[in-house]
Amino acid sequence: MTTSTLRKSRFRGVLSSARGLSGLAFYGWMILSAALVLLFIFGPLASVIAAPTWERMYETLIDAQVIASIRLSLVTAGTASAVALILGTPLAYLLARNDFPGKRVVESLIDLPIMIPHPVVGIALLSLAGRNHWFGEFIQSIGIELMGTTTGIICVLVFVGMPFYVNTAKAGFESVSPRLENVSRSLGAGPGATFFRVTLPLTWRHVLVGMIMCMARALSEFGAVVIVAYHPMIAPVLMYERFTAYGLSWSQPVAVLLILVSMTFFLVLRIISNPSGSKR
Amino acid sequence: MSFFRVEDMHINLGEFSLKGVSLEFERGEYLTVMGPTGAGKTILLECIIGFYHPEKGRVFLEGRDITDDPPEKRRIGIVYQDYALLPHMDVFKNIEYGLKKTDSNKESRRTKILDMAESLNISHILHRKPTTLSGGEQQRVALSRALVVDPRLLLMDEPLSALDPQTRHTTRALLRQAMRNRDITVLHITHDMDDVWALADKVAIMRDGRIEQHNTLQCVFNRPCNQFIADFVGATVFEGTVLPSSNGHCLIDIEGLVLSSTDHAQHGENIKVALRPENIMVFQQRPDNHSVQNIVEATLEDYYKEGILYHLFFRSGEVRIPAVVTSSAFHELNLERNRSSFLSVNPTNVRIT
Repeated sequence: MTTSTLRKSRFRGVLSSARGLSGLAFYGWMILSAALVLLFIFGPLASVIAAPTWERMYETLIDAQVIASIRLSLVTAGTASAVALILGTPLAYLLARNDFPGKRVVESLIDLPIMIPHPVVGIALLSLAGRNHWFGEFIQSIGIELMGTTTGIICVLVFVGMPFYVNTAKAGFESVSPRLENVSRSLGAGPGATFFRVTLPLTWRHVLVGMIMCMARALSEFGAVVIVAYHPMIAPVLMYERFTAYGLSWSQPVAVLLILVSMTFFLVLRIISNPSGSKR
Repeated sequence: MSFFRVEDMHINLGEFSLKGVSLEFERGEYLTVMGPTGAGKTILLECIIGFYHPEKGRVFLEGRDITDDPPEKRRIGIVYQDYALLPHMDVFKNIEYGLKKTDSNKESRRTKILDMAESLNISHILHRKPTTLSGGEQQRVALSRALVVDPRLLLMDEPLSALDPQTRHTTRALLRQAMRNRDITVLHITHDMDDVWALADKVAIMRDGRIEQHNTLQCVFNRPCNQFIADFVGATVFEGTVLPSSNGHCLIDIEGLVLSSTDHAQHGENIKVALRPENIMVFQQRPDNHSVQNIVEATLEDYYKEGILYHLFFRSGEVRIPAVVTSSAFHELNLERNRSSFLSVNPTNVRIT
């Protein structure tokens, strides 16, 4: 098939079969619901973005505290997704390649950070790393402090972001046929060489998307971070502070900035991980 | 001591299992393994190469126990039905993959790859990605990749079955040529009789995690040891009793049908006899030539046509005898259902299993 025949109709899909009364009613309902959902997501965001005056935006842009908080947000979230890459990849690979009793339990344990209320995450981490716990005492004795530190923020973000990385990377590893690894082994490559020469090169897109998801989740975290580290301030905490201290119109410009920065960042990463918009 | 030996191999993976598989063959032999789906053929392969560790049993290669060696130390090659080419590398790099380990000289690797590509007719596609290749091309690449590292044993899991008939035919011819030139030892899983005829020295037939029969091609085809194997290789097995004989030939009573055989058995013994349909001769009149032996009058019960052949099913008393004739013979013999004909089979083709 030539590209020109494919290009003739840009729109392809189930909607082109919407004919007859019941068909129109069914697809009409679907289109209306879809539009409602999109509006619901887009509406509030658009109004936040449209709200600040140019003057207020400019003030925010040169506000050192705002810039520092956005930078801290990006750095901690980025570090968290790098930690997820290093620590989560082996777990994802083991889960994708092995069946064992209790695998379901392990898998739901990984999903647990998605479900529990965010403040609970902060409280749980502090209770393990606090002075009342032997582990807390131990890490403090070697100089690691979570309460009110960047390390603490990264810890929280790794906790909440890890499930997104592990699940995506695992799906990637599952998509690589074990036969490719088998063939590699039969050709003299050990398990490590096989992983780095066959498995990883075939899953880097999944790995990258997993990191993006993990980082996105980390960027949006507020509830757990605010318990572990109010200071140094990440952008969501700063927004909250501006909102409670000065009101809506002072928190909006920070929000706009964060939304714009993250959207640009994620758009670029999405394009890298999925060039030519292929369906995979 | 044989070149390759599997001893009493057991493994249970739930859906598939091996229940005491033993096999052996010599250097340079080509063994085909047949059996219905789920018989455990692929598991056997993956145990031999080391992707699974058997729960019980040992694998010996060149006299050494390799059961506990990791796959990368065994020098056993594998070719899968779905080719398993590395999609992120071009054809050249796919073939080079295993060589990098054994040959550090880039130029000598290149020479080996070009030679291999030449012999398997893929020189023109060396710089293409696997996804752009046809099935036949992909399989030739997979074969080159396995052969170029000079494996001690090559395993193939239905290597031709995903190809269209025309490509399968040419690839099979290429495969036979490649094997003949290399004196390589092969274990080849297949469902296709044509693979067996064209390539095999020995045949093993598996059912339900066990090897039912393992012998030379001639033996398995002519003397299947039970009806399951007979069905697989297109023969029929009858049970019979040995009668006292006068002329040195063995006389066998199969439910009232008496056939003479050049094989030997004790008088009174209960035995199994295998007949192949292509060895049954069909006559319109009773042949008066004295050299024709084992003449039986039989009625044609049923027949069907397959390609240029007619498969016929005759009945004589209690015994149902399959035969096969060409379509021209079918019309010459004026065969019709319920019409009587005369059958004959040479005593050398009445084989005690």
